[in-house]
Amino acid sequence: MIEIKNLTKVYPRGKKKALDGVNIAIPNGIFGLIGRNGAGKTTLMRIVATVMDQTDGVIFIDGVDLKKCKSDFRKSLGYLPQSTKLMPRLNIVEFLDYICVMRGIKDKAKRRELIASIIETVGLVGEEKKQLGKYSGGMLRRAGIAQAMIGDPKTLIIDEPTTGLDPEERIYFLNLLSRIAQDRTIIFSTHIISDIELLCKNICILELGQVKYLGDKENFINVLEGRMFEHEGTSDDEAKLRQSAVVTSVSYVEGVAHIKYVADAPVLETSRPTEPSLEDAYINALGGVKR
Amino acid sequence: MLKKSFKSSLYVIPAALAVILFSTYLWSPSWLIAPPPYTGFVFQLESALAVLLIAFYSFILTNKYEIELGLVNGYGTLKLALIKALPVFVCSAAVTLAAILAYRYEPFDTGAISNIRIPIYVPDDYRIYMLISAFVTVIFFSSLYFLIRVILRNCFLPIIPDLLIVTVFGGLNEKILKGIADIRMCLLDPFITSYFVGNAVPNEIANKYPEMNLLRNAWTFNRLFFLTLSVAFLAATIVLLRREKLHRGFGE
Repeated sequence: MIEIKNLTKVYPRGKKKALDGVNIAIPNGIFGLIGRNGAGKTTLMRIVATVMDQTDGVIFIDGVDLKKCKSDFRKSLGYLPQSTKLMPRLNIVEFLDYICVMRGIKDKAKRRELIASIIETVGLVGEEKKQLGKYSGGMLRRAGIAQAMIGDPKTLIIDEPTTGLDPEERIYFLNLLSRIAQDRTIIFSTHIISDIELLCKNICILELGQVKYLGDKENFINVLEGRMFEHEGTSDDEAKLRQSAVVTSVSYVEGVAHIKYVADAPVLETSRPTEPSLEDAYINALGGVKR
Repeated sequence: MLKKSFKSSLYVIPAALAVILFSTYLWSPSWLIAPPPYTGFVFQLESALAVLLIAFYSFILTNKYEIELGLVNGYGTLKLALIKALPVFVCSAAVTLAAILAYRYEPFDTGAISNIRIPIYVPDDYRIYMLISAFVTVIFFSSLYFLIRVILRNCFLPIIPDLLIVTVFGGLNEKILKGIADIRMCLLDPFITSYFVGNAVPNEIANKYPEMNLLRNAWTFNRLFFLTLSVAFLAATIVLLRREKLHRGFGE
């Protein structure tokens, strides 16, 4: 269990707080961190991953202050940073061997065996000789996950892994994450809501460095139960709805506006009740979709 | 890890050897075993090494990803930097040592070389002076590179001030040799050994040449000055690296 208490981060020369009194308890399983770009997700991830210090606040790992158990925690941690700049001149075997050596696995035969098994897990068999610089975005992400899995860590921190991936690679990667999630705590950040919908039970929404929502994903969606409506109409309808409800999505198909909104009762007569999605709940929490 | 790093740094040996041979050959077309004048050889050896080392260092820890993974895997930035820089330094040092050992000074008349206008004294144990001098020069340029690199969080920009210093002092070096610049300027010249070894000059020779007498202890002061500066730069770099505050693009 990871408990984050009153975590604050102010960057040197930064005017705003990147994190402002964040309190989160992260249980086992896949924990989803959602937020816009600049919400503070990466800052939070990097602080928990011990690659950056907080300005204020405490992080407890199974009840122990992280500052007091930093090196033990690092031994049980796998980290996939947002950056995809792996070592471009190495192939996957050389890269994983390098990480194994860093992890203190000295036995060459053991390293070889471990690397072969991880390469198989992440589906990179047959790509062993190719340099990482020639990998596609999805393959690089899988290589990143492979290095994070070395040492069988109890906690995995994965920062926006699906950004820029094509749909097939994205689904492959999410399936891979769900497969390796057994008996682990995975903190997974993204701004792609459907990733969270597929993977996580517990979520946290960050906005401008503060927690907007923390808890069960279903409860977050259920708040909109009976308050979610959809409407087909004109741009005037959209304007009316924006004034008296929280609009969560608008799309125009052949001149007809398809609008989803949150309100206590239908604002327009022809509106129909609809099932809320995580995306609706998220947009509602952020105050509605921008014009 | 260190063993792995040494293995991957072996390329430095032939590269350094090629550069040193080529640069010393350029100064005075003859190889190490058929030695060029002391002046040119020392200057070329030290400047080629300094430039070469900072070029090699610029490829060390260029990856922010590697730094972050190092931290998570128990390798602090300082430890990782040391593991990567040390083999490069040792490999270059081995080549330098070999070059200095292979070099044979043959006494020459400064008057026979048209561009040298100041008296030059080369003691019998010139190899020891060359070794100490090369070590200090290389440590100075490396430490300057490391400090600027950590402050600027960039691996290529620090090459500029280093190259600038090599060029400026290369020019000064030449001016002092030609008697154009004030000989006292040699106190600030990182390549001081290339024109004389002041404190080793016997009394009778020093008294014969006023400039030499004036600067009898210049070599020692100069080397101590650059060594102190290097230690200060290295200490500041270590303090900065130990802070592990890599919040903004270190290494990119």
